[in-house]
Amino acid sequence: MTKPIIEVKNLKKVYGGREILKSIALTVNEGDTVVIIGPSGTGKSTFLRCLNLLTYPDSGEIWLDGKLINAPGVNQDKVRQHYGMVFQDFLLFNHLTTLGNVMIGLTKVKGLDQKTAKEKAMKELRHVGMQDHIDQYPGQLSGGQKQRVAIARALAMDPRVILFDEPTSALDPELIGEVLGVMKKLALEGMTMVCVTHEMGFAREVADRIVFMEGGVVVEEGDPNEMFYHPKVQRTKEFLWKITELYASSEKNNSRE
Amino acid sequence: MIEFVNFFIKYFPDLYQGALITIKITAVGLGLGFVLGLPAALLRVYGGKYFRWLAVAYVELFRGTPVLVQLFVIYFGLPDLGVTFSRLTAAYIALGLNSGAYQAEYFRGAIQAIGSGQMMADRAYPAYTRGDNRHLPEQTPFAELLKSTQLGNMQPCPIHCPLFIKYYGNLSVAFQPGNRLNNNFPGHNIPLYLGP
Amino acid sequence: MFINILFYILSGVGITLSVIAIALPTGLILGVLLSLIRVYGGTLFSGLAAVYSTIMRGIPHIVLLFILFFVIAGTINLSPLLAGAVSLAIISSGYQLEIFRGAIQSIGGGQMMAARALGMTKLKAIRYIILPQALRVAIPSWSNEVASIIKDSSLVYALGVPEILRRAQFMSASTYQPFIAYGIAAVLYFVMTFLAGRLLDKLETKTKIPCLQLEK
Repeated sequence: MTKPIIEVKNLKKVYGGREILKSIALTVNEGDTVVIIGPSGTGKSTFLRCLNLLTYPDSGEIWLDGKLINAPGVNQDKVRQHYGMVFQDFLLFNHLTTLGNVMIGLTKVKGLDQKTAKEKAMKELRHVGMQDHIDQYPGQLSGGQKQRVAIARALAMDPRVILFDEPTSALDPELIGEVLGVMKKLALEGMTMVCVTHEMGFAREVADRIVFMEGGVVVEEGDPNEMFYHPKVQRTKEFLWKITELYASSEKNNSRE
Repeated sequence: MIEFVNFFIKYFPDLYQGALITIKITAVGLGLGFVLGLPAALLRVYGGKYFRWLAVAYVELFRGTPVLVQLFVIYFGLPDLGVTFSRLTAAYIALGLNSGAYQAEYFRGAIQAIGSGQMMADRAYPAYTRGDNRHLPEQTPFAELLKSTQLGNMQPCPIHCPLFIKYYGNLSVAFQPGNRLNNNFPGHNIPLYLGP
Repeated sequence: MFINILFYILSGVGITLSVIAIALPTGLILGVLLSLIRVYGGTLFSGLAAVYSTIMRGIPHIVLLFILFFVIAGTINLSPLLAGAVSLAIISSGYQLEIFRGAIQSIGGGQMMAARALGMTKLKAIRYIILPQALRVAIPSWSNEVASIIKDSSLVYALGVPEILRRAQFMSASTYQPFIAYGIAAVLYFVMTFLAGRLLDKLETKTKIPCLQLEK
């Protein structure tokens, strides 16, 4: 029995008077790919940001590798070093080259010397297929390229878990494939990932577990087979049916072999 | 604190007179600036080679030199060449010219932001391009400008500037109290209310 | 005669430049620090910074100059030049606060979030991610402020500092050629603002970030 990397119990978050997260519980094991789906604005991104303490939860428990990370007195910056995060709008550092973006975490956060940092950065850039663009600036890259650099940037820190917050939602349809391809590769290599996404094809193929979140609670969760073909809750059925129809055609374009 | 209040009460009449003058100068300065600035902006965007150069020269000259120096040239320097103005008139002129240069830039920015799209529309509809086309781009940018925060920024300059006049006439607000008191409480409170 | 006037006034250029050389960097450092407080400080400090900015920008510079000068000269024994320059720096920092605040906010909150997601402390994020971008973005607005400082340096003549305008005044009184005297002064200021503008344009081109997309 693998010990869970992340354990979330009874997580609550209130924003501007509204209870965004009512009571979330989640367990993520090492090597898992957990995909969170659900309608927009229901707290999926907020939940993701609570995991790495970018958003501080109001109550509940988050355990990372057996340590309670949302306890008072915990060094949040150190905690975040164990997570990697990939954002919907990429959020690459505009004043740095591709290489610079991947290296900066290593040099300024981990304190590595230039040479070691560069080697590690090049390794991760090769991993995502962006080794030929190291001297370009984010403004000169396409969306798909930017996102792959963002993934390399996250990987360079050797995180325990990578969090993906709708990584392909801001991309042109033709570019979604290259990013999903990298994510799939990472999942197969055993990276622990928590993804919020609308890409059902990816979820079906790659996820170990799918979590359907709505209204600040987990409505249902299970492995892809259960969720897609034998959902238990009516609402899950409705949601998946609508989404799958919508994405059925674009899936054909996106699946990358 | 108490001395501040006493001071204020004692010199209130003077401060009040000064404030009135400040308001007058500000109003005339802004008004004159508008009258000069808008045409200057239009000249700069739409004028031919020579008119455009004229507008640029005006704007760069009056934005590139201190207001105080402009004031001195007009009030002290021009009599040298035979043209004499009263203190107040010189103030109006100097501030008007200076404000005009800044307003020209604001208007130019607004025109250019709106302008190119409108001009393309003009070309497509020839009825507009004869004589009338000045009105089309003009109206929209003006509205834009009024809405824009730029207009709020313009206020301080004409209000700040009148204070310079103190040096050759007990005209404006600051000078009187500054003259009588050599510690740090000139009549700054009035400009503060008038300012932002 | 003209040459005499010219040379006498020119000797004031050094003084003017000294005033600017003190006021500009001081105002810059003060302005950047205050803008960081304004953006990243808590509600209290951010509010204080906002009040500071409103005061500095809402009162005529010459009035502020007098107030600050008397306060500074009253407490520390500084020459009029230094006290005047420092006062100018303080006034300018009110404007620079707003300039850099705008620049930082146009970079966007996402950059800070991404930096912290990597594990950077807020301080590190400001130093390595936010400021490098914000400073570059601020250059055009800042160059306006530089021109402002150059022109405001003329105000310190009222404190007795023998800079350009003061000398022009002296020349005007002693030679009865006010137009020439003040005209020369005007030209000198113009040349300074022009050169400063050009220099900063060059700086902007050299440090430009390729294809930067900003949030409004």
